[in-house]
Amino acid sequence: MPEIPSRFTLTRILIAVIAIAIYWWSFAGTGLNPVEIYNGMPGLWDLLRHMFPPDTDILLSLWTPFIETLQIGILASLIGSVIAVPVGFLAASNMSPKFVYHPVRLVLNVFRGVSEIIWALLFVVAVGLGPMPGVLALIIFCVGVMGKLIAEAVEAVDPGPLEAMRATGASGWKVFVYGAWPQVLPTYLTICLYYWDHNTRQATILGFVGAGGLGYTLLFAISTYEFEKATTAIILLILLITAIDRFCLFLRKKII
Amino acid sequence: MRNDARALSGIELALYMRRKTLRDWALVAAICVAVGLWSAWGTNFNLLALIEGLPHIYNLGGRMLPPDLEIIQNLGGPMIETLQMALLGTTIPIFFAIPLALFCATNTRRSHTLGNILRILLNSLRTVPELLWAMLLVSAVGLGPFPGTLALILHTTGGMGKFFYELVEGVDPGVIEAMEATGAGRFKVFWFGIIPTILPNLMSVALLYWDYNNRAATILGLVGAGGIGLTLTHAIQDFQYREAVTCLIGIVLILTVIDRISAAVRSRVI
Repeated sequence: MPEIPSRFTLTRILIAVIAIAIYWWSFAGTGLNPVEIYNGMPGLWDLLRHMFPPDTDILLSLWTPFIETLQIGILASLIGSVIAVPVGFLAASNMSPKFVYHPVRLVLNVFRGVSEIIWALLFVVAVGLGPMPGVLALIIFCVGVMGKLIAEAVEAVDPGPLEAMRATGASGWKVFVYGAWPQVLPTYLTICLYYWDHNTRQATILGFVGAGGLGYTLLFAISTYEFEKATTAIILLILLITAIDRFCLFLRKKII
Repeated sequence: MRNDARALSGIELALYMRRKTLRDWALVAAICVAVGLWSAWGTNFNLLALIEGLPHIYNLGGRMLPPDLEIIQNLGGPMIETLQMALLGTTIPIFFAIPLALFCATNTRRSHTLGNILRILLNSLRTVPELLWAMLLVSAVGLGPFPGTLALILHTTGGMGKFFYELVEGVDPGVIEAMEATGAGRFKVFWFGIIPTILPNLMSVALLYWDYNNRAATILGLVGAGGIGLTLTHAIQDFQYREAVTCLIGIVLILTVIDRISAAVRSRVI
């Protein structure tokens, strides 16, 4: 009778032991154990009690930050998507010379490696509080991410139609606009919509470091322990993001 | 007659379609410009302020470089804390998200009402940014990595729950029907039928969230939830910008490494 190989090979046992060790160490390092959860319970219950019922008196005053958050998202997405197109083409290995391609890629990696919040912090220190540093930070991050994605789309362009157009005598500009660009366009639109959604989410987060919008209101409310106001703001936040999500899905179905 | 596309033919049709497309795109562009201007007005966006602020940025740059390398040995502890937060924040939610997905997915749920309520719950959990969860939890249980890990768990459960129930709904109904035909109970159908089908996608989602949570864990320190973000925040608040830059460089390096590991695991396992 052929011997069925055992499930408990040495490699698997070793991996299991190492995994258990890492988890044990992680639980210890983050303080996630039943004792601490038990100790934290009263605090959590207290928080919940203070958060409900939500304070509806301030709904009117939340309107302005709400719109501000929407505007930050829109503006950052628009400017970012416009800047990202030439940058993306410069970062594509089949469109730009080596001495341009490498530095641009490096710059893009730095833009997206440092997360938006850090950029927002730096810009708040540089230009002050308010929605503008938030917009700037989002633009930087957006150009970094979208630039990379556009560059990848450009590198995936099929050279066949381009060659055919050049064979009929089309000039470089026409080859680009009617040959390369239509191939990049669907990906570009998908990226734009996706990052508009993402940017509006981030706009609320950036408010936590003072960059305007609902996040700023939330920061205030939580710092002054007015949790009922925070709950109202959170509910508005959820509604805003869900609405944009649905809108983006709707647009996506129409365009693509 | 001009506007009736069916009556046009050949070159006329091509020219008409091209004009129509250009008109549509011009309309979209006009809407974008209008909305953009409205947003710029609302956020007080003016390039003048940016240009005036450039000396500040330059000044800041001067104070930020060269990076302070002496504190590198102090970064090890917080860095590890961040990685631990991300690990727990990704793996613990898996245990919560799978049953939740079962209850939400339209093809495996018992009660429609419960399923819809759970969907709204999951949506709320994932829409609230983890930074906000962390802020609330820090005011509830205090500083440190504990509230940070909880915040990641909450946010990730919501996100994974949504991915998982979409995956469960996408399972071929033939598989489920075949297993039920052999008399398998609900749990067996789930464990031996659905899970093996979606397992590669489950792992892909888990890897995605591990990647994302590492990034998020570094930020959570901003509100006191531990890890290297806390070190960074303290450095900025103490105006020690050179230390802050070292923290930043450390964060970017670690995230790049995690990126590579994640890509390697993905190509090997999935």
